[in-house]
Amino acid sequence: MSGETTTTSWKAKAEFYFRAVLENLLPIAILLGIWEFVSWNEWVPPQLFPRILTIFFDMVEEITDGVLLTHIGTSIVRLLISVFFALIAGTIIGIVMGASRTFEWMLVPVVNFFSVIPGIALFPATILFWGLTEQAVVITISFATSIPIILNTWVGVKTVNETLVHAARSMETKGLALLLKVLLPGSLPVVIAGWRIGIARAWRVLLAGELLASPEMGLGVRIFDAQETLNSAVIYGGIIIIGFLGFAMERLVLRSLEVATVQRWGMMREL
Amino acid sequence: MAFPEILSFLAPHSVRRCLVIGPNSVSAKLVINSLQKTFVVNEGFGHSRHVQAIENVSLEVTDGEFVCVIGPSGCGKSTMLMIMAGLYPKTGGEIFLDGQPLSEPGLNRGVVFQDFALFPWLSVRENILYGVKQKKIPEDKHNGIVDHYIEMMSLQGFEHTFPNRLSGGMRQRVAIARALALDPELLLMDEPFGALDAQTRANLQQVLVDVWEQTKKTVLFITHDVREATFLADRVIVMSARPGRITAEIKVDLPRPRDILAPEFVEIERNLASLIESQNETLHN
Ligand SMILES: Nc1ncnc2c1ncn2[C@@H]1O[C@H](COP(=O)(O)OP(=O)(O)O)[C@@H](O)[C@H]1O
Ligand SMILES: [Mg+2]
Repeated sequence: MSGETTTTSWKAKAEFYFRAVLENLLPIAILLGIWEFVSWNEWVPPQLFPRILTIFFDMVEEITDGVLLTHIGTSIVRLLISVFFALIAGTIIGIVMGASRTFEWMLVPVVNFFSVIPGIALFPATILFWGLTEQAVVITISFATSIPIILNTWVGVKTVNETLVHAARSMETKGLALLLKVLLPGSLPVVIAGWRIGIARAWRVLLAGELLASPEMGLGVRIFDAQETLNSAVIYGGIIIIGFLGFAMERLVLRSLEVATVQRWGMMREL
Repeated sequence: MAFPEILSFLAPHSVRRCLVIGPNSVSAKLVINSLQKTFVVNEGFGHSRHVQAIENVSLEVTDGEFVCVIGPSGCGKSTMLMIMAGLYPKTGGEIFLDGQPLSEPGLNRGVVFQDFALFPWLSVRENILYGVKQKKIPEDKHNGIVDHYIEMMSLQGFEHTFPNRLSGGMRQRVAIARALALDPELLLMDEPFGALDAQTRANLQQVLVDVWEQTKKTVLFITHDVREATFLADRVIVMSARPGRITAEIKVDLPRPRDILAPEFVEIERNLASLIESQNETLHN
């Protein structure tokens, strides 16, 4: 019986990264190309729909001023802090709900109650408590983000292949060890999907928060300021930056995590 | 365990039982006594249904014996095995392994499931080591144990492969290695080759016989394949369905390796098949 051999060549590596860049950026490049074509032909009035190049040059100008990078940095820090808490709390709560019947019946109604409430509707309440502060924004985002993470983790844990649980239990695995050794890795594909939904939700709530709590800095602040001066290039530029950041985060962090874990283990089909 | 009859009230419950039953059962590795199992199936919205999976099963297995349990689908074979693994609670009767009453899962039993049940996130090596670590065997022994079972199951070269990258036959080899690495008192196997193609199945049956002859484990092997039972077992237990109970028992006194084309083999196989056939008829009448 022959075993396995591993090969890594520079050529294969280069090809991998080239393909990754191509597959991820090409669809977006095509979209932006269509945009440029439409706006260049002025099929839509340029005040409403500026050219990509105009947007791009505005961005470069703002970056050299240092303003744009501060806006971006502030938003990212807010987002990361909120997501950090939501990931940890949401995943733990979800696992506990999936593993313990008591927690399950206590929390399922509560989580479902909050899952229909949009993050933006929570701001008036959190602002009552914490005022127009960073805490109010971060707490609201964390809360809203943790909901889909909890729900996914819960379902993920409940749907872990039952014979795997049997196999583990037959070898005297129970309680916390069962949770960490079997339920968590076994539900990882679904848990990561929940992180994905949660982080997307975090961006949306972040933007709403930056509108309502109107802090000094942030991508949302920049977009809504531009709305008042009717600066369409900045409005679209802001949207593009947010979309791009969200997309980059998903690809670089979550997708890489997936490739390194569930896809490597053969728990998830490759693209 | 030579307890004088008169002092038997001092003996633990399990030993006392053996004394009552007689000398034969003292050597029994596994004693199943009037086992019963009724499932209460919750169908939601206030409906529940009682399913009697096992009516009244008694069985004794001696040390090192290879026992096959055969019967139609739904006759409670898996349920019986799950109870012996400690994974389902029984609703009646008693089970003793090495004289100890058995109810919880334990590392003294190795279980092999039909769908392999390997942990996809652990490599072949780590899967085999899972129970070894649970047994708290010192780390310096790990390599030796893994190498031993890797070699026994011909898995050389696949130590670091993840199970989902292996063929079905290879996966079941890993699962058997994982169960054997526990060095269990009892090996419980639930139709382990049922999901494999005929050739791989025949191949693994031979592997299992070889391993059993090397390790002299007590094996309870569930199947619904008459030839498989005849090929593997010292003794075949026939069960019937609704509710599950033992209806017959056949000793297979053929030397190993067994030739599935030999007239003696074919005769036993045919006897067994007709036993199963006849109880199907009584079921339909
Ligand atoms: N977890 C369960 N809950 C409810 N009923 C079950 C469960 N497992 C098995 N049964 C029922 O018990 C009977 C025996 O099933 P099983 O032991 O799986 O049979 P076999 O392995 O011989 O095919 C069947 O009628 C089945 O529907
Ligand atoms: Mg079965």
